[in-house]
Amino acid sequence: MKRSWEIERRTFLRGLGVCVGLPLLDLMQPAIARAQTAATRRLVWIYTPNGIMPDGPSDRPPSYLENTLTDVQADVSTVLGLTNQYQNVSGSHFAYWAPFLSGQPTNQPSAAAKTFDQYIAPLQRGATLETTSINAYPDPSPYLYNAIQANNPSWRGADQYVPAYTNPADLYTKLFGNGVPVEVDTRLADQLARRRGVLHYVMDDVRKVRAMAGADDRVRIDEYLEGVNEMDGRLRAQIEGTPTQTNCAAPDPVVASQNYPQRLQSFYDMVYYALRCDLTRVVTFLHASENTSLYHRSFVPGLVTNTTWHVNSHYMSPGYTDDPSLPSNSTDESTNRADYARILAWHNTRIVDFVKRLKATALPGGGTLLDECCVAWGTCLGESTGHDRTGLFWTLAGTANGALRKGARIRATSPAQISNLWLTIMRAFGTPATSLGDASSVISGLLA
Amino acid sequence: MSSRGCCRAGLLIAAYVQLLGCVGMIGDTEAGATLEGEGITSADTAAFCDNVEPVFGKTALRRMNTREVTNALRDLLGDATLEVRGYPTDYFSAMGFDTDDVSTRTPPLDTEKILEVFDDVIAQRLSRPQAPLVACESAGDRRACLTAALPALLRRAFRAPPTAAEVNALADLALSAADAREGTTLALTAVIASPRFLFHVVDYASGRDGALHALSPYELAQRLSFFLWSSIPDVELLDAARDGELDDDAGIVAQARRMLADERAAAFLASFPSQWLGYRKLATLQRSPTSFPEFDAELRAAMREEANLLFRHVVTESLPIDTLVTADFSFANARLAEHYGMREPVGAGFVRVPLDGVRRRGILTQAAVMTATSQTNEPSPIHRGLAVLEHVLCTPVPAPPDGVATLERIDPALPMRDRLAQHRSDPSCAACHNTIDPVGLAFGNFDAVGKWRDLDQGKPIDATGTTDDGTAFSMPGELATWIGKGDKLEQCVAEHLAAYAVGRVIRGRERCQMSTWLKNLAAGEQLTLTELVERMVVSPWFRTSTVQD
Repeated sequence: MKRSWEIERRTFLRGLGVCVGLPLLDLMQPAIARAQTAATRRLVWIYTPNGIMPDGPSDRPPSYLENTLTDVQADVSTVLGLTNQYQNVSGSHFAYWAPFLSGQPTNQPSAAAKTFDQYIAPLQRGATLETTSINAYPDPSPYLYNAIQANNPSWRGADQYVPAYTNPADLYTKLFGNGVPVEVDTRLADQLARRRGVLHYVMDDVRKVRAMAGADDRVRIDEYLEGVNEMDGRLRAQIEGTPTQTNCAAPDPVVASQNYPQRLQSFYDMVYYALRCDLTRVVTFLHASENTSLYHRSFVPGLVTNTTWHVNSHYMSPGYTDDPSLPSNSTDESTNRADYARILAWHNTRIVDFVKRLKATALPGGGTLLDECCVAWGTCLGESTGHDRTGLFWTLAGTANGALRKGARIRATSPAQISNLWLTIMRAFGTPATSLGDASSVISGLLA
Repeated sequence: MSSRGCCRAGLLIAAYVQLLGCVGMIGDTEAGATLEGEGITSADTAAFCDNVEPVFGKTALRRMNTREVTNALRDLLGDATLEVRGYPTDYFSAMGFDTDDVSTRTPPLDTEKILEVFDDVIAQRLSRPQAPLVACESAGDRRACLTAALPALLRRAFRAPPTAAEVNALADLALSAADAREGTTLALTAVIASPRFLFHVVDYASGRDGALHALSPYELAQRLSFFLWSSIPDVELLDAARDGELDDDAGIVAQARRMLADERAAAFLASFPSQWLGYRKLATLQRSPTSFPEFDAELRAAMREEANLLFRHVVTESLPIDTLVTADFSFANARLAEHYGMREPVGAGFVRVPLDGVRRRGILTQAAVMTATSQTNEPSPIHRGLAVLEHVLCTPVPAPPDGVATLERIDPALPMRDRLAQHRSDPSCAACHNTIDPVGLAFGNFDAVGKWRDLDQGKPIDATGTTDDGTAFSMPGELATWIGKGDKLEQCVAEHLAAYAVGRVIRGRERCQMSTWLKNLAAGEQLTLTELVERMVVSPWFRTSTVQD
């Protein structure tokens, strides 16, 4: 459908014409002229759902994941054996995002606590988005979970979540849409101004409804107002042809794609440029929601089975399916194992490629973009078929400007909450808060 | 373990305490962690309901779901062919309904989607004859024409009469446009994008009586029309609100009767049972094409229609509620009769058919429910047991604990009854599955598309069991009849009906209130489904809401 509330895409692209087609890297180089300070730190938290498949000694990460790290061995630290104790709150996988990332169990959005990334975000504000939250494969109608809690990882507190972008084109518009001058003809500008009249009428009505509502309903009507406000702001910016604020060119425009690998790549491209242009400093990025119904066979080479990621994760259950309407696992466990290793290696490779790209980007003042970052990725379970909650494996790349160690290989020998890892990252970013939910200590081996 | 033994261990109602006990949820309830597992009937939990102040909960401000917005736009704009394309996905409550207040939120990206959908809807409407306000485009005095036409439109859109200022603001917006057609577009878009159209608005700033808010007549009209029509009120209902006809029970019931007889009540008569019993998903279910080549779109539609027709029949004929699960008749067309192996009917249309013997009785044994509770290849006794316990008897069953042995690791060549028995040999499974499995196994003679079968993995199916009151059954129809006799069914239908009607999950002490309310209502007599609907619309759940500051 035409995006009727904005200038037509073609007009928009004309505005972008100046950079489309030029070699992007050359064009971008001088644009990184922002002030570099020792305090610039960037968090990129990445999540893959459903757990892992151990394939060797319990003190070693899975070999198929280690193999993907070959090129970045010296840049990464790994932590094995963390515990996720909150699975029971909402099922056997994890306890929704707010509990998982705040160390405080609840399954009510109204009791959600602030997630660790939101302690960091206000300290490290990007020019455009304080937190860039992404969900590349949201679950459209989760039966097991509350949709808000299952699809949006970052929470500022009770009932307040950072809406995750699910469509690359929307994130593109947000990050780069206002940053590029657009030619506006006055006839179109007048028409857009009248469109704003509609939104202003709606906002007046929102105020009336707000006056009738109780406190809990105000949150809901404010949410609607926020959306209308955002659209109004976008129309205003287009009418005025707001000049670029960032002095940093945008990547190629993206369009919504149903193709998962393309969509994932578009998101990674945008995150890369957003970090590079300092449009954002905190990113939370879900490759998919928990228990996802994402299928991989059309793009991961060599797969034999054709089931959802979640069914794949039950690789030790031959013939398993969790939804009577969907295909099941192979009856041969070794086939399921081979497939699951390919799927997890595929996702890890996307993340490692992103890390390598950060590392290949030199900063004007010396060092690389990766040096400023802490890229942390992992999942909520150890062994996935049995929903093991004690063998969580997480990988970190980058030092967050010297605050974190490279090359550490840590294995928890006594139960250590996953929240200890979040608290460790908060420590590296220098948050005023020194505790987080049930976190008992920082993982000192990770700190520089 | 013998199957008899496990049934006696706690089938159905007596299982209440046991189910809660298997994860220790009673303690959590008072801690406020969750209210979903609380009990209200067993001796151990009866105290939960004692000395309780009346509580009627509150429905949070809710945005229309896809069905509602589609019907409302068609009714408001007078075009039954309007299509709503790209509206945000609906959320379903724990009770299965798309009328849930808590999970239905509107983050900014959804707002953007909604406004784009509405643009498309207005464009569709204006491309066809006699759209609202279009007549004013060629009027000599456009402002006079608009101020005359807008009040009726706004009254229906907002379910309340507009003020003169509101009418003037919209006329100003329309007259600001470069041409008259753009003006119509702007005005219509503003009306439907208003939260007073899009949300189920209740004015808590007025009508307070202590902690309770009594719905105003217009708010009551709104609730009635969304309950029975999934749409905005018609002019007659709004006039009834204006003229004080909704101030007493008789007036409200009279309107409900009129609305149930209207064809728009199809929204309720089809959506409620299919969401309550989970067969709404029939359209998208997959079946193994080798085992069930007959499972095509026509058969799915026939299954759904059979279930809907029985529900509709019980409502329109004022039959007792238990008829839903005990009826010794059903409805079939030629395709469905062939599926069931009946001799008649032969026509394409649905006719009432008798059910012989006790193989099938009522809606639970129909192909729609049996298919919706099956896997691709075979029935799922666990899904079937859970469906009956949770949605027909309102007996909550906790989620399985971590690390439990999964059924699929047990030899799939064994008959299902034996596989489940093996699964229950693990005590951590047995605690709950002693209750779940026997209920599901009672339906073992229905395959994954609801057809009768005598064998499972080559062995005769044993569908026998004993209820906790010692009633032995050997046929699915006998269990269904027993379910119909108990008092849990009535309470459970009432809870689901209330949840659908007021747009939120009925939980906690509200269930106690409902139990008392039902007892007083029925006074020992069997309630009909029609009576339940009519009493529901004058009940405190429907007419009041707790005020929260």
